[in-house]
Amino acid sequence: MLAFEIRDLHKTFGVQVHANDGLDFAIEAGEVFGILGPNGAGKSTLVQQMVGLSVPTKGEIRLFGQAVRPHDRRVRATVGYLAQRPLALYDLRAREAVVDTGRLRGLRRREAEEQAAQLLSETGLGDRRDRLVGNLSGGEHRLVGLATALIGDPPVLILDEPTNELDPVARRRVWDMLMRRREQGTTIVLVTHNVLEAEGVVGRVAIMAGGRIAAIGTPSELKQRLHAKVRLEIALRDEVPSIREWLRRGRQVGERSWSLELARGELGEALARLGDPGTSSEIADLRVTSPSLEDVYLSYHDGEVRGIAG
Amino acid sequence: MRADAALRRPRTLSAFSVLLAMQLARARRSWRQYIIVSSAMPSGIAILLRAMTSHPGKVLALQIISGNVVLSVAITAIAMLAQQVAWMRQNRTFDYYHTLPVGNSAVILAILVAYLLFALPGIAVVLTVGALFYGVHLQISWGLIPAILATGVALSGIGALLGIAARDSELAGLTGNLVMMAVLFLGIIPAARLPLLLVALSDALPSTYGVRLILHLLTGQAGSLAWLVDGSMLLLFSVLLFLAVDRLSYRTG
Repeated sequence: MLAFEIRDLHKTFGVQVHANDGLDFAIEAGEVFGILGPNGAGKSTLVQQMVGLSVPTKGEIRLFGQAVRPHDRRVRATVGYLAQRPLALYDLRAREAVVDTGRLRGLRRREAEEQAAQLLSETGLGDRRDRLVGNLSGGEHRLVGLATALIGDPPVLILDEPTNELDPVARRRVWDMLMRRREQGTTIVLVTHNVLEAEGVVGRVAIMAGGRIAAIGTPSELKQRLHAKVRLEIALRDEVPSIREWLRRGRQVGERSWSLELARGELGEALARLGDPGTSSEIADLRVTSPSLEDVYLSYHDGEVRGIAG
Repeated sequence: MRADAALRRPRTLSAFSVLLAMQLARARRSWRQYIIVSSAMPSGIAILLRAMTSHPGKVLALQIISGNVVLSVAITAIAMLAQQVAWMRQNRTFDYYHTLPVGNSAVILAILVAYLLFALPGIAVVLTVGALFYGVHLQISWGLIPAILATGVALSGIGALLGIAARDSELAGLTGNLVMMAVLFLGIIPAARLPLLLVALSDALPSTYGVRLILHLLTGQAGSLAWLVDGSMLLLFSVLLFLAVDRLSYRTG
């Protein structure tokens, strides 16, 4: 069963700005789908149309087989949405913001209070529940927003940058919360820049660039496209003149650390060069890694891979 | 896998009460501002006019008091609300409500009613100051509540429309203040003393009917034909303005 079907979707602002330019893809019910892409790629414009906040210039979006219309109450009841902008309920206490949102989703007061307490505890905001939203830090504010998206247990979640402004502990909590929802069969659409963390959660990913889908597939499918390359990371104790020139092929990431992207066929030669006794004694750390989803993202971002849209 | 089989939506009344409580929470931080703004200027004008007139008759005194009661409503319902709605639009605050299964009209009505309630302390202050300074006995009746409510909804409708139409909150604040000045000017000066053009403008403003309705009530003339006509006109304005705001509320998205 398909949760979302997006067909030939165009969104144009004015005459020149094509925020979404002919998007065509589907999201299965129960899937965790990531939307990655640089700023201005058209990700937020896309999700705003998916929740009915914005009307497509051309094309169609269907949610569980029915067309999404502007201000569609069926969509509103089905989708929990976390916008990129902060939640503007500054004058409510954190607990009230979540309870009231639950009640506006049709929960009875008691149910809303129970779920809100559970969500605030899950997000680590239990001891901040009586603070005004306007007095919370940016990260705490974001977590209240997430709790308002999750209350009422909607079958579909669309979360635009859910881990923005969060510290590592809070980010870990958020990913764990989303994993639990995934196990319950919730369809989750994630817009994120946090490629490394998203890789462990998403089932499929669409990489957007310039309003279009540059690539779509599972993280392993996308990484397969960079299969011919490996990354070699090396840290030296001291300078080694014999490989100084060779290291310049890569990127210097620290005082004596380099990161080199090599074709798989070049790996043997590189390891032989580093195995030289005069060199190997100066190696503090050496790692050879396969491409990550972040490498795939960066390759599209840097324009290295062209014409393989899924 | 979960679909949308068992979705819940709130009942209209329950949604409205939650939305109203959310709007009223604004008073937690700004209650002093609401009381001061909605009471200082109307009370000050009432006192100023009393100082400038040696022997105001009872009718003129009540006209001044009624006009300032409506001005008190207009300050929050037009000037402050226009600015607030424009700010909410500018900052996409309405997106939060537009992604929940509640009607736009419930959201708009909750904001209108909240701003009307913010004017209540100011109204009480104006009535008290007016009675003391003009030495008149005011016939305070239950009828004042629906009269002030209808006036408030109509004026809030104007405020919300200004907020929806304005490019930004500064412009909304400016136009809101101009409309409020018109309400002040045309509401307090009796129609008989106005030039014909301004009488026509006055007839096109709901505040005029609000002032007259409150005046009828304060003088104990509720139930007269004039009271009925003014009440009907005010009700008509309230309904039309609310429908216009509801119709245009998509522009808040």
